[in-house]
Amino acid sequence: MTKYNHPIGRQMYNFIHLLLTDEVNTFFEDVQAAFDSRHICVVLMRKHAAGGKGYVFSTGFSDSFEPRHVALVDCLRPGDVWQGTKADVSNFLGTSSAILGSPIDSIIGLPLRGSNSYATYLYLLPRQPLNRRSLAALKLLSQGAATVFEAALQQQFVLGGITSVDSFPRDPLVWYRGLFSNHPYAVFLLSVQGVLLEANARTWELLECSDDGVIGNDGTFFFPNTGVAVSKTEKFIIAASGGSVSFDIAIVTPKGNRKVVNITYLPVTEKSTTIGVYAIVRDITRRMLVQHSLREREYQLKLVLEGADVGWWDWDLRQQTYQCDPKWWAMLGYLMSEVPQFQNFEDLFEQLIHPDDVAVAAQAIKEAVANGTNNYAVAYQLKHKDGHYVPVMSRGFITFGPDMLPARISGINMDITQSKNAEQAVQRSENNLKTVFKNTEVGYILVDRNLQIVSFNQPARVFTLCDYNKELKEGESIYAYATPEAHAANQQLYSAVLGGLKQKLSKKIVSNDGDVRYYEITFSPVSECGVTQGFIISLEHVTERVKADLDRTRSFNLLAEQNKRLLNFSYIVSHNLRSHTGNIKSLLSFLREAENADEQNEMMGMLEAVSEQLNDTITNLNEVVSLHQNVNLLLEDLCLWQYIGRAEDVLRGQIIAKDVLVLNNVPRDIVLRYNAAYLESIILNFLSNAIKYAHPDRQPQVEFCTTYKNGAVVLHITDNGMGIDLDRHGDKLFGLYRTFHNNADAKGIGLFLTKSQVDYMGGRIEVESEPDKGTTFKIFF
Amino acid sequence: MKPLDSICIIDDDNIYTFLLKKTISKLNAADNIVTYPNGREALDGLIAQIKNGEQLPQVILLDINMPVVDGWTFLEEFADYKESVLKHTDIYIVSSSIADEDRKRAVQYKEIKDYLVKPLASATILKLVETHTMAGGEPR
Repeated sequence: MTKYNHPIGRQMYNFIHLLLTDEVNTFFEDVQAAFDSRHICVVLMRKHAAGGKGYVFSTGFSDSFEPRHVALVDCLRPGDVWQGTKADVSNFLGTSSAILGSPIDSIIGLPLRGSNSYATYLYLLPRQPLNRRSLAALKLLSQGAATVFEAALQQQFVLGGITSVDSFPRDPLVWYRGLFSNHPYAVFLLSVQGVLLEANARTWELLECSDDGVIGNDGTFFFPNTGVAVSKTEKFIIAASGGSVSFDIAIVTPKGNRKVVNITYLPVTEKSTTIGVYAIVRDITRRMLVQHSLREREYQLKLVLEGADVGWWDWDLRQQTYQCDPKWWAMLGYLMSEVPQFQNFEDLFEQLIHPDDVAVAAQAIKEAVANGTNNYAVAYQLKHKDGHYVPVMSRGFITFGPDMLPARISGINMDITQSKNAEQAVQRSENNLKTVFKNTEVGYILVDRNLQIVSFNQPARVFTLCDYNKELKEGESIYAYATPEAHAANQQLYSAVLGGLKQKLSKKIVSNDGDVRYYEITFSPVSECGVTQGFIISLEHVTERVKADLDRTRSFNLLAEQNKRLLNFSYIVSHNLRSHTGNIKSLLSFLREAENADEQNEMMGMLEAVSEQLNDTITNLNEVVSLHQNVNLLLEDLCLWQYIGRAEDVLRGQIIAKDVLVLNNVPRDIVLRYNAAYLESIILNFLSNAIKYAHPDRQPQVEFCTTYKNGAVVLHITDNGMGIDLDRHGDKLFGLYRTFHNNADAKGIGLFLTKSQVDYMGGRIEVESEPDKGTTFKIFF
Repeated sequence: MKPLDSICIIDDDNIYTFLLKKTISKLNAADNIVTYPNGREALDGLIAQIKNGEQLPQVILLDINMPVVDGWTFLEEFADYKESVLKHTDIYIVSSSIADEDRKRAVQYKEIKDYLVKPLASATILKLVETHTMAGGEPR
């Protein structure tokens, strides 16, 4: 108590500290500190409800409440902070500032909410104005304190029984008397021996007895059920020896009612000696019952919350207090014993919330306040003890004060890591799918029921090359990518797919630069609940596969060809050799039976001819066999033009004899990588064939020229000879021992050999011919 | 044995043709022997005979592998006349091919009496003359 040095502060303290709670005392301590600092002066003013003249309840410098003060107080509405200028200060205080002896530059007026018929109080601030942060802190302090103080003021007036300004007593003793007799608590004074000296009216009410014979009693009245004298109780003894003590106790009144009361014993001292004890008794029965039921309900709530796996929090904006339950903290990995300390809830929030979420959370509360709704829900992340962030769903309930400002926000937090993870997993798998969709080599186009393109990936762009050169676009009809001629066919195709049937087709696409690509296009219906919702067009680039297939077919054909040759070979062996040997056999038997020398000579001559033919046949067969033995041929760079010239030279005799016109129109710079013997043989064969089968009615003409196909040289050999009936002989043209003209030289081996050689080098021969017009052979090297 | 009026040989092997002609003459198997070097000429000659109302040879010995028109083609074109005019003509395939393929193909032509392999033995020639006579094919 010695620290209340300032006379006014002490006076105020002495006046009410006995009757007020600790909280109020704390406030007065702060007020005292303000007085002591001489920088802040607290002015407590009482304002008359009807206006006009008022009184300053207690100030350090003025005890009159003038109209100008009333004007100031009137302009302050609940929640306002009024900050006056220097002029306002002098206007408000008049000459009072001189009394304070300390220059004051500004006034902050803070109204007492809900009590505008009574008073306000003003902080008069020192020369250095407070910065914004301090101002806000002061406001919060004053709001919190104001509630308490308001209560204190109300009590004073109740205690004093003074409701009229006019009868406002000037003598403090009248105050004390009034306070004593009208105090809502039972207040009585005991001697140190425990004898009741004085009691207020409330005492009899509480204890349910009359004052008859109680004054001067030894205090057994107090605990009628036990009959124990007050002076004998432990707590009283403490107070009688100068200590103050407060405790709850259950009593039974003479009427038999059970009550729970709170008793505070306060020693009355004079010159360091305890001369008496004040007893303040409050009936807390109701409070206890309420508390009990509250505790019960709290317990139930706790069970519910625990079961629900949520943590609750409660933030009192006025008191600047907060509370978060163990579950709340457990979500962030804290035991209650490890929970870090924060100045207030805002501080806690700033420290724990993910920086990215601050704005979102603030916005949610702000919106709820602005809309006047009581509750809101917002997801944000809070920092776990381990440093990572925990996603939570926070549902808050806002309680508004009488000033319509949020007074309290409470709610629950729920850990949504799992649903968040599930959400992320879905997102991830969607991303994976997207990655596949984007990066796969297969082109995809998603088409909806209405045949509009929903989506497509990069490789799918080739689709446009199919029929119609147009950029793929989402939302565009799939029909836009085909020519009108293809419309009917496509319509049939799409309706089949939408009917749930998968469709597949192959497409050869030739790009502008002649690049040939093969695509396999699949139309797969996408159905949901048995209904086709659309389809997926997948375009697979299968050129490699098709080429491999073609290669395989080629190899197969080559093998078949070889097989055919082998069959031919066996045919020759069986047919040609047999026909010769048959002839020889017949000749020999005729020779044996020859009747004269002439006949014998004739037979001998024929035998010679047959022997010659047999020799030819064997030579030809040798050629065929040796051709198929050449596994590794030497390849050289050969000038095609030169080789044609060489063949002309070889056949010069026939060319001149038949007056053949040979046109060598092959460019001289064409160089083939080929086997020299083969090339020579091939050209010689075609040229000699052309000469051999020249049309008898016109001058024979043979032209050699070249074109290119897929970058390879194609040699055309065109004659105006007899031609070949391809319908009849096409399949046998290159067979061994196949002759189609009644020509003496025809042996049926030239084309067979030529074809074999070209095949062997990986090329092919095409033929166009019309009987009596001529023939064109195309050799693809 | 009464010789046939006429035998036709269609073959591009002139040595064989010569020898066969000689054998037939020796055997006195036919009074006339007609030869053609390929199917085209045979068709031309025989169809001309039909058109002129002349008698066709009673036996035709047909080679398969010939230039211009081979044996098979000959058969196909000649078949058009077979039913009406050629009832009394026996057609034999005579080939040095012993390939199964050829033999099987020959069976498919109902016009073909038999498939014979070169060289023809004298006994074979006599047999086919006899066959023609026995089958009631009246020598004309």
